[in-house]
Amino acid sequence: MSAVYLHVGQCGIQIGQELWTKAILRAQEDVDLKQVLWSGESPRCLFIDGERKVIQKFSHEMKKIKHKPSVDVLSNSIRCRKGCGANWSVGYHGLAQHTFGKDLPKIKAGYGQYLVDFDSSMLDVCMEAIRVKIESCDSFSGFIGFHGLGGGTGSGWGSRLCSELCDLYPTAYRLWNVINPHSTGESPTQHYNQILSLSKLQENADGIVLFENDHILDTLAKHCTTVSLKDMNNLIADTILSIYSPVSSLTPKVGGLSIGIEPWELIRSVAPLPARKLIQPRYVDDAQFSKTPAPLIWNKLLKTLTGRLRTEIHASASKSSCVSAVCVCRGVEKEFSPNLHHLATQLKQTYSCVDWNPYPLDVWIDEAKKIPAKGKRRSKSLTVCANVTASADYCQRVLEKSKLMFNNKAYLHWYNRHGTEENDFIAAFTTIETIIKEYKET
Amino acid sequence: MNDVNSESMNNSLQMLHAMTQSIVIQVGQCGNQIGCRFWDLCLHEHAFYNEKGIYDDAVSSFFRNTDHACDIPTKIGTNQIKNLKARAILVDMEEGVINELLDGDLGEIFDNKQLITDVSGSGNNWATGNKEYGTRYKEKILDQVRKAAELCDCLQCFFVLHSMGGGTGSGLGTAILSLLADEFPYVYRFVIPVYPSGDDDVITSPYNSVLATNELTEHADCVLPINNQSLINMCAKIQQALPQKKFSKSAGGSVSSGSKRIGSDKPFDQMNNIVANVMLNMTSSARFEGSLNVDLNEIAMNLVPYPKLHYLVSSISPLYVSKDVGLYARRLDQAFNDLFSKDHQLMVSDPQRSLYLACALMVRGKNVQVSDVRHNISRLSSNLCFVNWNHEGWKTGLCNIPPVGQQYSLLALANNTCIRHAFTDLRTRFSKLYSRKAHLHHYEKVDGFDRNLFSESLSSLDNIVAQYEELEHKSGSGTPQCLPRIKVL
Repeated sequence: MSAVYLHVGQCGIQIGQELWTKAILRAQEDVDLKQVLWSGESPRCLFIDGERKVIQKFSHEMKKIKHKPSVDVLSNSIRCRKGCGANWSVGYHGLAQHTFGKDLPKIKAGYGQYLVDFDSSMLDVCMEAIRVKIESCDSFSGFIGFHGLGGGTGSGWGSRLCSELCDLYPTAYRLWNVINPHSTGESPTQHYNQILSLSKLQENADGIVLFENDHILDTLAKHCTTVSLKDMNNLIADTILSIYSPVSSLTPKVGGLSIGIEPWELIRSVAPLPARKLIQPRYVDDAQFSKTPAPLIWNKLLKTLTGRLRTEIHASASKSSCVSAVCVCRGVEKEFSPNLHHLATQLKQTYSCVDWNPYPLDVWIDEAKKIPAKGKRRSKSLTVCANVTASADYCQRVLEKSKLMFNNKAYLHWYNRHGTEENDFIAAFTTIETIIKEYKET
Repeated sequence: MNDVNSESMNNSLQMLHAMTQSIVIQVGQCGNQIGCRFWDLCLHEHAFYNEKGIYDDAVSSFFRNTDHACDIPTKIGTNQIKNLKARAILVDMEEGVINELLDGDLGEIFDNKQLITDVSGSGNNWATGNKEYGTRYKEKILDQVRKAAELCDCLQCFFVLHSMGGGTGSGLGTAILSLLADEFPYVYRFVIPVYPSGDDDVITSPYNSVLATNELTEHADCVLPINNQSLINMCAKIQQALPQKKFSKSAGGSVSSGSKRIGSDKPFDQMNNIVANVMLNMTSSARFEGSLNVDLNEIAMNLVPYPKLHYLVSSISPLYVSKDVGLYARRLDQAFNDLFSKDHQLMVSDPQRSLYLACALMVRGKNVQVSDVRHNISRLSSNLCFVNWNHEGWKTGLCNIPPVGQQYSLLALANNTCIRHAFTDLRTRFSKLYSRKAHLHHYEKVDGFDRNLFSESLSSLDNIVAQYEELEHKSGSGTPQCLPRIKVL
């Protein structure tokens, strides 16, 4: 049940950097993680960007890590030099036809031949590279994508890949992790890019995990005075690994090796309805609770998480309700295991789950395997992924802003120039309005 | 910096040509003097950060590396820098300025084929520059530009530097701009024109400026107008704040080639340094690595909501002219505040009292983090008036490499309606002359010049001012900060 990880654009690749660095370190001890993320020595990932600097920096950093299994960034990356200028249109339409010419990346099949030639377009090259990755997986089941929504390459090309993969591999899952830009503005065109991208993903992805820059910055700002982009990416990487790494409760007892169904189980549990697939992840670990004694740690984690959630829910305008949620507890020790009944009740209360779902909360437990060094504690983390109406509020905010700009015809000439007409905008607005309506009816 | 070890030589095909390149076209006396400072500071910056002298991607964005004997360019990657040549084209219709440039220390980075000169000058006449010299030198200029473009792997943009008040800069500069628009429609054209101040000594400067502004509105992708008066004010501010002992100390990164004391610089050097620093900071994200990259095409796409309203007011904070000469802001927050004050704008204007359509914030520095930037943006947004459909009209960029001798540097490029006041002033000065039909015969006697051009340019200028005014009126209601500028009669 392997997945191919696709990182698109600057945001996606920077998160990929933190994710794979952590994965390499954890895979030293965790055999399950190693065989889920790597096929032999080659990682099941691709890094795609419209400019070369970010991948180059990533590759440089990665070479400093001397562990095996490693990630050879350059042979798993596709880079061109057509930057997208924070324009979704260039990313979605323009990049597909871009031909490489001399700059062709080397895509090797198992038998060492190049599968693309100088006239191949970016789309052909990406599809070939993905095909090679799929062939190297045993029991391939789906794609996990990462990109940002505010820019051009990530949001445009990322959503284009989702559409193309939906056509080419219709039975594979597509779980897309997207990052929303700061609401105070990272780019003037971010509203258009978010709406256009989300509308495409709503049509083609099976589940959309929404990370919000604002939320991450606020969470980190509680402990540190200055937060760097690296810290933010680290938190996102921690959250992702805590959801997608193998959990012992989903690992079959017979055979003992993880089958890697955590991402797909997430989709099945949390995104049961095709119209409502926005997933909100929240993560807390015990890094800042080193003084709390071991028996109380789970309660502390739960309290912190529910405290934060309650603040958020109170701050939001509309009444919140939750369709379904998954809670992952990692680092569970036999001596001090969390009180699952208490955990479930607390979370169901905080989230006000819908009444038509008899099993709104799914709890996964991952037992800590390795005995920690003397004096240290096993790290524990609590993650909740929920399908809540707060996601629709976010859509509403962005939709209003986009419509305001659209009515004033701002920036439209840049989008028209690259193939996105007014009708595309109106169609995207309609899709997002449908999402909001569906969530409000929950 | 971009340290490439031997293992990656195997992947050398993929490592090559990572950056995009830009070509600088400097026209006229002003353009060439600014260009001279730009190349000096650019070389200085790359020399400071490139310890091993390797011709890597950052250097290649503005320079090409050639073999001494012949002009064959060497590939980007791991080679030592042998002989750098600037990606520049120098145009002037008088020989004095360019000859002085070539005689100085910077002469080696230009080669003879990149120069286009004539002897007689343009006589401060836009028509001579644009029509007469524009047609005479069209083929030669196009030839040079094409050659320079072929030597680039991936040309992203042109920078055109010239003044608006003179003849060569405004006339020939805008003629070149329209040539570029035809030949290379997909390469971005950034123009940095220097508008004349109110007390300019060239009488026909209003005519030249208005005629040239029309061309800029039609053919440029982004214009960063600059005013001499604001540069003078900024230099005065820096001089005032300097401790006295700096005057006798020999500045390591000295402002002009060779001179040790600040007092003995050539007259416009400090002012031109400020402009050069703006260019360096704008392109820093495209050249160096950073956590949030902002490429030049992103600046164009994000700051220009309507095609003709592409005039960006730039401001820089803290103020500095070179490594040892500058004002050091005590705190980062103070630097952000200064960035939006009217003393730090490169065009005489007060953006805080007008409407922002969009604003780019490019931050360079090792210790400036994303939380500092976000915190300051939310703090400053409450004092600034953004158009109602673009309340979050910020484009942020973070580059890890600070400028030489500074800890950090902030650059703001704002698409703000305050520019219409500058245009209205220009129009007033133009009308004073035009209503008397003064000096018109100089323009009309040039072959190819039509008197209608005056009225066309004037109506185009009025059109832009009207568009800006309309935007102000549409979202004018509500916030008390959006006061109209008080006219002192």
